[in-house]
Amino acid sequence: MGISYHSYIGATVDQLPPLPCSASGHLSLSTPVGSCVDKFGRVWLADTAHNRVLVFDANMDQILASFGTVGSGSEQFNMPFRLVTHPDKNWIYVTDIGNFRVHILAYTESLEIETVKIFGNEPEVALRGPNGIVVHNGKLCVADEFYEGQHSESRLVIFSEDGQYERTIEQIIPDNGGEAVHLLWPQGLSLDKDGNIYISNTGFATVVRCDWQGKGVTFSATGKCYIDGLALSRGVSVIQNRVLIPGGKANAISVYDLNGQFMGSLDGFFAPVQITEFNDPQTMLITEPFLASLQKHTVNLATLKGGKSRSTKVLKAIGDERDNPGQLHFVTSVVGDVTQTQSGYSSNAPLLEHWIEHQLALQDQLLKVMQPPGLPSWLSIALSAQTEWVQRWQQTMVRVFLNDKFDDPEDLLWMMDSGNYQLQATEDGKSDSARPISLPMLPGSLGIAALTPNKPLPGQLDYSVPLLVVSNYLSGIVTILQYNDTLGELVPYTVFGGLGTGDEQLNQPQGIAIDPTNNDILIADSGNNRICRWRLSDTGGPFLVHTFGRLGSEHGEFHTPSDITVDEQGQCFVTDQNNNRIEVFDSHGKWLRSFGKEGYGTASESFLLPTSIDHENGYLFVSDLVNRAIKVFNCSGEFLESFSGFGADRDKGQLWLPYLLHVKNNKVYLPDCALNRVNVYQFNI
Amino acid sequence: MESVFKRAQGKKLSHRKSQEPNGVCQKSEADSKQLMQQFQDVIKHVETNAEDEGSCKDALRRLYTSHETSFSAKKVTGPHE
Repeated sequence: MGISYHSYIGATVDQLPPLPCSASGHLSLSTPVGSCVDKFGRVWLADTAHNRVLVFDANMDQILASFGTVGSGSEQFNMPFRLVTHPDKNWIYVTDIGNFRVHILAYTESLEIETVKIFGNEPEVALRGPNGIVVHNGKLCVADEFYEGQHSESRLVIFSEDGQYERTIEQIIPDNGGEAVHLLWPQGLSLDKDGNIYISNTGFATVVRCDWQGKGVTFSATGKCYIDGLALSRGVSVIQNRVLIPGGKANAISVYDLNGQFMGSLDGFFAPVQITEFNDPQTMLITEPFLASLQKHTVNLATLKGGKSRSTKVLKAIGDERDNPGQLHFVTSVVGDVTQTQSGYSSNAPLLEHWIEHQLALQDQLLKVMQPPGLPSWLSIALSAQTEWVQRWQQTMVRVFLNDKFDDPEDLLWMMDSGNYQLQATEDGKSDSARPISLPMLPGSLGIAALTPNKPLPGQLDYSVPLLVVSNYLSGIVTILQYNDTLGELVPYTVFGGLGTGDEQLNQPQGIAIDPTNNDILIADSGNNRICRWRLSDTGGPFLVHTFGRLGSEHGEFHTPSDITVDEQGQCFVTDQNNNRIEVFDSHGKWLRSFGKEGYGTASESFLLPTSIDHENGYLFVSDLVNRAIKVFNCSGEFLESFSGFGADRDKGQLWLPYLLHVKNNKVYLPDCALNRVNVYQFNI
Repeated sequence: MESVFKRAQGKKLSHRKSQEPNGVCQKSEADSKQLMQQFQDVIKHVETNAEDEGSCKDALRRLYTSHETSFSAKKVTGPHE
């Protein structure tokens, strides 16, 4: 018995023409995180899932250099994450989180780049997750995200500016004498003009302020050395004497003054992570990794007051071209199987298709030109989404026109390519084999499941093709789609749910399971902290059978249930994500038992944000997010074995943000929405 | 000392409980209700006009455009941490 990496699906599009070259039309980023500006005003960007650092001119018109490949050698990275510029020397520091180390890169005006030193992975330091980094007065501070202290706390590590280890900070002692503050999964760091360190303390959803000795510096508005009440805390930047917290509110940047007083929000962002001050006045760089985008914005933060919301002006945006053939973007879920029995993918007129695709690309460029610099951030993101979405419709019509489709739609592996608003499918599972199939999906479509009724339902057009059940995270609507051969598209068969907290409503639905004993549809209603069981009547109408669970940490309660599976006996297994456990229920929703406990561990029943679950032949497969592991259990909850790996090496099956897994015929399909591919693992009994 | 994991879980849970009475965004709930009705209309349209490819596609396009207008700017922030 064993689980091992097999292959991946999702083309890598990282080739660049000879440099320098235009940043327009040549650049497809993969989840870029960190950025910085060097002494010559050039923009450096960590193209994290591509394992390289890119350098652009100050206007971000040209790609000037690309440095690094995947690996653990001297000019190699495994997820280059955050960058910071030395204030005096021509050095850039790069945290190499998957290799547990930090690089110092020296550069010249003509952009010759060489490695000065690599450090942090020596045994006496043994970084476990170097993420945020700041440099000040000859010292360097690194946030060690996955370090595990005596009580599981993370730490800051202080080095000299040339990489000599000095000491660690494992707790922050407030300067007003309160209780020690601990760090859990610290990510971004920043500095104010006095050299105080600001830490995005992700595990607690706070931003902590301390000095270089670990003494907490109190915010006068809160009386504490941290800001809390945040939705998320993935990053922090101190710019224009304001504390900017990307994600402090959903899809916004929260802005506080240096006293910790909330000043307002910058709206119109999607999961922003890194904000870097640019040389021009009131200008900053912002990465939105899941949009594969680096942007330059301008805003006067001094005039943001009274808790109001405001847009920034977008001066430039690059990198978000992620719809090349075979490419996936924010892939979230999978259903079906790779059978390799198909005769193939039909394309009746390849020359005409290329010509039409060329015309669409020209049209896309035209639409982008119509988004001039200075657009408000919310309008820019909405226009960009609309452009992509309209393009999906056009491409669908081209495929329909060309009769360009898979021969056997009942026999495919389907993938929810959420960032591209579409389903893609493959018949053979090869890395570049994903092809769009049928209509554009609604924004926010996340989970999918295949449902084959016991007998044909009224109005069901083709009984041989399973119905596809799709959860929509944003609208709370669950759609059951069927294949319409006349239209050549998936069309709604029925719908249910809708956003809300009422019995028949849903809020942020994620994973879906079909009960093999009776074909009921079970939905992880994560925002309402419950599981909903729906059923299709003999006439095809959906009705609610029951819900179970509520917010809490006692047994039978949930804190963000993200996925569910049901075994052949009708037992329901739920990933209770923020309670770090698997809860087990009978078919009536009665709590039976739970297993798992919070903690690090790649080969144990410890979980840290278990996110997804599926089962086959009496085995349970759990994707454990922070531990970056697929853990295999029997249905009694006994741990059997696991596969693990943190990083972005596509040849090793490593993981960054694995999402809703799917198991079929001894294969585990695990979409990673940050690496933009579906990893395939083989499970041998 | 209680493990940092337990304390972080407790802090997040109490924050979530404090937000729960706020419910969901009223405007989004109204948009969602309207979309549900549009879905029902489209299903009926496709059932009764299955052979009229053009009008079915138009109905689908109108439905999905409504959804896109209501929800595209919000997007999804995926699994956490």
